[in-house]
Amino acid sequence: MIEVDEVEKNYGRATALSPTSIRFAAGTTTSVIGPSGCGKSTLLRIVAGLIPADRGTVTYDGEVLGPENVNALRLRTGFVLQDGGLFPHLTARRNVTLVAQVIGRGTQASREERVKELAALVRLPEARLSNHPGGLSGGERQRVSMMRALFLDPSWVLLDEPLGALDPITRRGLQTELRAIFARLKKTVILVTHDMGEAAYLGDRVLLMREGRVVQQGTARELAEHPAEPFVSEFLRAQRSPLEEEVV
Amino acid sequence: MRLHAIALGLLFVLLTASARAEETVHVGSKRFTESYVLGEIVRTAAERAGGVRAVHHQGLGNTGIVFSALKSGNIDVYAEYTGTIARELLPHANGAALDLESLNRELGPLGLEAGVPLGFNDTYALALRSDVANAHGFRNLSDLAPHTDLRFGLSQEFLERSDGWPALVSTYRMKASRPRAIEHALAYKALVNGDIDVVDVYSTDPKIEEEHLLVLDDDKHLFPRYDAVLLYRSDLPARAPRAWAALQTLKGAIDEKRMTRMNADAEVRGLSFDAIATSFLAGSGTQEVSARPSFLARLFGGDFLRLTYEHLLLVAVSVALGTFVGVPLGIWAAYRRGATQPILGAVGILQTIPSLALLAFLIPILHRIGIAPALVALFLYSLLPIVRNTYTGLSDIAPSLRESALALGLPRVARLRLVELPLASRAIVAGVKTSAVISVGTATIAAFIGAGGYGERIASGLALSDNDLLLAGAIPAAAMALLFEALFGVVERWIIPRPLRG
Repeated sequence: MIEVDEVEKNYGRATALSPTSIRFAAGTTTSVIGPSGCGKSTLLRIVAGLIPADRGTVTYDGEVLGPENVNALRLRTGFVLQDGGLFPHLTARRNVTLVAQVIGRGTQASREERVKELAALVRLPEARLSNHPGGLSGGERQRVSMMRALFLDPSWVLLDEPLGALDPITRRGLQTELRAIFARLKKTVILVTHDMGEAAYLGDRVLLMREGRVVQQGTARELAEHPAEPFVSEFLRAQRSPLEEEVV
Repeated sequence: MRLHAIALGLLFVLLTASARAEETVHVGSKRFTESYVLGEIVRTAAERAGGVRAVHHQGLGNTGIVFSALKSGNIDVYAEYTGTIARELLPHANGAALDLESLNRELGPLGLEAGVPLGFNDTYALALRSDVANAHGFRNLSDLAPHTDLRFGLSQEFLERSDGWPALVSTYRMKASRPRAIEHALAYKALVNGDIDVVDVYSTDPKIEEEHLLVLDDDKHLFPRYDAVLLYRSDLPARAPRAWAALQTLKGAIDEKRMTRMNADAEVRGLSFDAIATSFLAGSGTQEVSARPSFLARLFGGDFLRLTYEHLLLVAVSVALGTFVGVPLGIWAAYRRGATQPILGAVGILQTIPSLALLAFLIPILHRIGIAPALVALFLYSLLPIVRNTYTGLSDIAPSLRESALALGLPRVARLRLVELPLASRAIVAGVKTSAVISVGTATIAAFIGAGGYGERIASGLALSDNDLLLAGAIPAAAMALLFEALFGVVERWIIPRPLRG
């Protein structure tokens, strides 16, 4: 379980995050959604310990995140960025195994075993792993990035717009696979996205943000049926359907 | 690991370079023809006596640099002139008598002695083109005094020396405007072309006769006698007795005519100093050489390998040091916000110091001439491209990659070594390459303080106004710069990860 308690972040006079408290229940996936600049990425980065909060605490299974344990907690947290954040000078395989090698986790053989296992999980042909990221497609890069995030079998997985840069078909395919992976691994997942369909499909719960505060949280259905304020309905309706013009 | 291997290799080169110590007599010379010739005669005579090695540190800049090299023990002996000793080197004894006994009373406390008068007086004088002199009816220095329109082109040293231009102005009341400073060897060309009217000359200058110049009479007896003598460290006779005995045979051995002829051998006939010294000591007259040696023969002549080795050593060691210091400085500048401006500012300012000034400044600090101050100077110059490129390379890493390395939980050192430095490697290697190529050029200046390298040829080519010799130094330097470019093409393939190569 990850608990965010009265966390607040300002940049000068601009508020990035008003005091916010959220509980991300163990073994569930929470989609954080909202328009650009709503504070969803700031929230994720504070949780990951990448930027410090002005006030408030983040707690991982009762352990308060601080400078002394941030690196230990990062090793137990998987992190996936929009463009994958893969290192261009290393092969995909080395990207995946890098941290384990550096901190001396496992043997060469056990790491190789883990690579096979994860390649199967994200359905990436193993031969593709010899390529550098520049030689992979966008979808393949995200699969490799997912393998890297999961390599040390983390308790928590944080994803920042992981599918944001992909074409719609690849994106839909990966959504299906991610849902299967989350369901199977039962990790505590926080997924930041701006796509309502994706948020509803992948998240057990959806957390809608606007201007640095949480507007409403609940299942997608709860948000649709009992909107806390007009903005919720507006946001849910904002995604255009392909046939919209004809319907009107 | 590769870097360690390179470091060890360089260390080895350094050690072998400094381990060649035996009893050695270090001979110096100033940067003009006669001084080179006399230096080479002293070196050859000392070495022939046996028992010691004799090294000639050629063309060590002006009097000040050679004298400080003598005082600090970097050289043991060089040819100097009594007037210069009295007026320039012992300024507080200004006006003292010029006999050796009086001079040695002053030199003794410095651990120095003057002796072995060589037999000629090489005095300063002013000269004009004969046609110009005749047109105005100039015969002596007093004739010049009232003229305001004469253009003087004087050597830098003469301009500044207390027995030079300042003395001329106060003794003769010269009315001419501020003279221009010009390299002595080039002054004759300017004079012949009519760009200037009056130059300072040495009385043993072969150009006087060759260019039909009129030497003005010093009618107020301003210039003292400049009798050529050896100026040496007091311990030299005891340290190298046989060499010292051999040097005694030079006493009175060179008259003014002989010296002028040897200067002409170097400047007009293009003989090497070595050949001139050898033929002098063999007791023969001027060698009958019909043609100057071919350019190729001079390019790859006797000292080519030594100069190449010295030049390579200067560049390789200074750039290696620059890399070992510059890369960490660049890292520091990139990651410590408060350190960025001070570091980049400091290495930038270093670059603006003129190289000769920096060298001259380092000699008293390091108490020596030669390789050490040259290496320090080249090292300081090598920093800017390396530090700046390291800083830029690291700062330009995409924020998402930096964040991704952080979020993975990689320890600080691993992040730098495995992610950030490789991502910045292209910029860093380019910085080292720039540094190396620039260093090849800058290292030619090192010859002015006796550090050797191709600059030796350039410096003596300048002193002799011998374009072939200049080119014989400049061409290999340019070739070496190109070689470094090519070498770094290989280094790039070796160090920069393939996907990051341009």
